[in-house]
Amino acid sequence: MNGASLYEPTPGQTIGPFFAMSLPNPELTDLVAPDNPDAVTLTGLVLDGDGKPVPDALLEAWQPTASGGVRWGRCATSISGRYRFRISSEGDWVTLAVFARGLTDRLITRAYLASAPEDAMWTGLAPVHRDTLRALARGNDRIFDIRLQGPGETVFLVPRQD
Amino acid sequence: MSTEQQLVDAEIAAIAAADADALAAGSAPAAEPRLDYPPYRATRLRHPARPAVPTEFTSAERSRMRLRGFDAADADLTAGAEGEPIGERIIVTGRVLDTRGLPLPGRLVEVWQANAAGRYRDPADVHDAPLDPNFTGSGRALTGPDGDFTFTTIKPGPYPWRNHENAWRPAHIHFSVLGWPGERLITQMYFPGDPLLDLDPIAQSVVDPAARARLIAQYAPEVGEPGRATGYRWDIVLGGPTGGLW
Repeated sequence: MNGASLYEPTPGQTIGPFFAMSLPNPELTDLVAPDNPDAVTLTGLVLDGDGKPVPDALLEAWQPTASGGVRWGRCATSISGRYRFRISSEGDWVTLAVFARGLTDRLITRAYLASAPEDAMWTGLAPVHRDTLRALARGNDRIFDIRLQGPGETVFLVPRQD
Repeated sequence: MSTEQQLVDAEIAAIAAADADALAAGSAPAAEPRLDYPPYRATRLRHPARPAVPTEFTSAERSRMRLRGFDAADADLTAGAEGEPIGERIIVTGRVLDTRGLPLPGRLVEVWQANAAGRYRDPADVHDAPLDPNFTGSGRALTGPDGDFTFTTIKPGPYPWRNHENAWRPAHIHFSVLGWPGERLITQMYFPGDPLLDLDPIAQSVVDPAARARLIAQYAPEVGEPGRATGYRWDIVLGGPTGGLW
């Protein structure tokens, strides 16, 4: 065995349907405290290729802070396919990971909070695809639906390989 | 007259053969599972049709993160109840590494699994097999200085699922590894010699045989405890396009 073959990455596998008693926790849905002056709700539906809600998905969210750190949260979708995080309205985007039964590996996307973010990935996308990454502001809510497949399919991301 | 399993087997074999041909023609093996994998029926409406967009992730998306709100001293799944859970007591140990082989300490490893009878303590699990009052099947640990983790648990049983008639999942433990941002893997650990592995569309969704073999633990007598528990060793390597680091 050579050294390289010892450290090949471990493949992902589906989260399956039975994580609810182990992974989610209501305390984990807040990336910021409720009394944070910049707190807003990031919420939306996870939808399958027929436009039906996905009631057994797990989402995780990472949001950079102004001081160079990052906040993290976790939320399972409800029976109606809805997730809900408390995030800060500051910053350009929230990175999201999606796990579900029927999804063999996680998906990564970004919910853009800013109207005209300045980054290469965003500007490189066709407008129709950009629209899938826009979180719409409605009062204190930021609405971001995730379509796994089909019309309006969300743009998912992989790291650029150097 | 074919059984549904034989039809699924044929689909699995056809995909594997096409993948082997592509490898022989010079394409690179894929470490990750196929998102669009028809033998696993539930992928049909849940896989994106468009390829993911290559993206430069920012330093903030990779920055060091403090893990909060976890009781990480929960690595003995056989403890905490009034009695002993039923089943084969096992110890599973391993390390979380990056692709250079460097240990990743302080990462959160969460596990969940069925009991010895193949039943999850989950309201969504309707398999007609007994619950074990002494076994929840959930555990967690933070990796040590060498990236190490050790769980004491019960060997999970196989269980039926509705993918096709007479479909049974091989025995497995679900593993979630949460590290710094970008280090995020959810996977399943299987047991060596399980005859269900070759029949299972979820395991086979990792089409490359070498990559799939990395999901199978090794029997490790030195990990076990004489007279008490058998032992398994399984390392987790974070890296690759979707395997761990973004």
